Amino acid sequence: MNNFEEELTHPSQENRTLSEIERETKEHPREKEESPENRRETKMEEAFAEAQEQFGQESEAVLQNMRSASKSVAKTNEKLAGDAGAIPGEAGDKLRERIRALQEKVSQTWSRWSRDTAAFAKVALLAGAPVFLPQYDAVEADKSVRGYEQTDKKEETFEEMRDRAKRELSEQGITSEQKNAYIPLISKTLQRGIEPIVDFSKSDIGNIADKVVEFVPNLVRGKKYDESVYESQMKEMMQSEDAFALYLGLPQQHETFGISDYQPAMSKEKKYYFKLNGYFGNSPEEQKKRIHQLLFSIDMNSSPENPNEASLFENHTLTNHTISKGEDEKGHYISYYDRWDFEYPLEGKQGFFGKPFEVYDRMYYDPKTFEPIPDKSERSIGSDNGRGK
Amino acid sequence: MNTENIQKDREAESIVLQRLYQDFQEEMRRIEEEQQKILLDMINRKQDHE
Repeated sequence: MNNFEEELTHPSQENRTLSEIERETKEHPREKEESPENRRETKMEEAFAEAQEQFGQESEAVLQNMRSASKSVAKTNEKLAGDAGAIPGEAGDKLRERIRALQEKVSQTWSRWSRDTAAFAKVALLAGAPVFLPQYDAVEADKSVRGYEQTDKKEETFEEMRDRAKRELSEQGITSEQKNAYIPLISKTLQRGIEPIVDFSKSDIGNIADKVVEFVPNLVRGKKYDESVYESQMKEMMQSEDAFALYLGLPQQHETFGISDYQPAMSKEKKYYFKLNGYFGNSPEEQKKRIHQLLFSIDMNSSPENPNEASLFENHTLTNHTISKGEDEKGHYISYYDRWDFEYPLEGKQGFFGKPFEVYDRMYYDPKTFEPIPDKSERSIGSDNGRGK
Repeated sequence: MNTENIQKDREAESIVLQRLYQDFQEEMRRIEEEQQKILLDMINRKQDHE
């Protein structure tokens, strides 16, 4: 049948007259809906849409209730703080301290649970029509309650913050700030289902496809690394698991990370940085070789505009990170920087399912011999720029 | 998937939401208890002072 014959037998919509179309519509009214299969499909679509709408409304109501309860409790706190202001002496100080701690708790509770609820709602709706929730991306930044947190938070110096983070990491395997990333149900599901290691022999799409294929079996059986295949990479795999755990708000298991004594001079925020234990080597001999190697990489890979800095593709944990050399009153040093995140579609723009963290550390050395020089001073802010990839 | 499954999913989601809300309420209840204790302490302090 050629095109002409086809057109005669089954005329296209454009070539039929209006009356023909009208007649056809009259003769076969709602033909599609008449078939049992289509009726069932329509019914399901309606049921699904209704379920989505109900869920959207319910999530919204839960979040609204949480917000109201938080505001109400915060208001009571304000009243208590006002009354406590009139109590003199040490007793008054103690009461005010208790109220301040409670204010902190209210803020944390609101922030944590509203985030969890919004995250759960988002995940539950991912499979269906994205009918709502973009507004909840900003739920964490709800000024009405979080503004309260800011004004009452106890100020820590950099040294206090760093030392607290060291203590927390050593005792609990995670710091308070990273712990905030934890989302009930979701964090542990992702940890169990996803192998954070990246296969550099595959494209991004290849890696994503693998993660999706692995996900469900991993959920059922748990992850099992084949040591015979990955023998040389087992250490890096465990390191990647630790990085992924911290990202998800869960404790590290293999002591991969510590807290650096330093922060880059370009860092405007008062914050601590994680460090990758053993990055510079574990003995003075290893460190000497490592320093030499890193300086060589900078010389080879830096640009004329920025001769003190280069990108380094090296291991699975930090993948593409920045190395820099610098000098200050203490002497010459070499540093590295990375922002650990998970560059797959699982992560929204703000790292919705986890919290990216920054890694920075440095080592002083003798520029003639490349011998490492232990830094015994208290100084901790460098002159390098510590920029990310 | 059929409409029954959709309904079951819906119920499961609802249970999780309610669970999250209950946990939140539990935290808030603890905070309110602490507020009550602080209030009592303040009243006692004031009485001592007077």
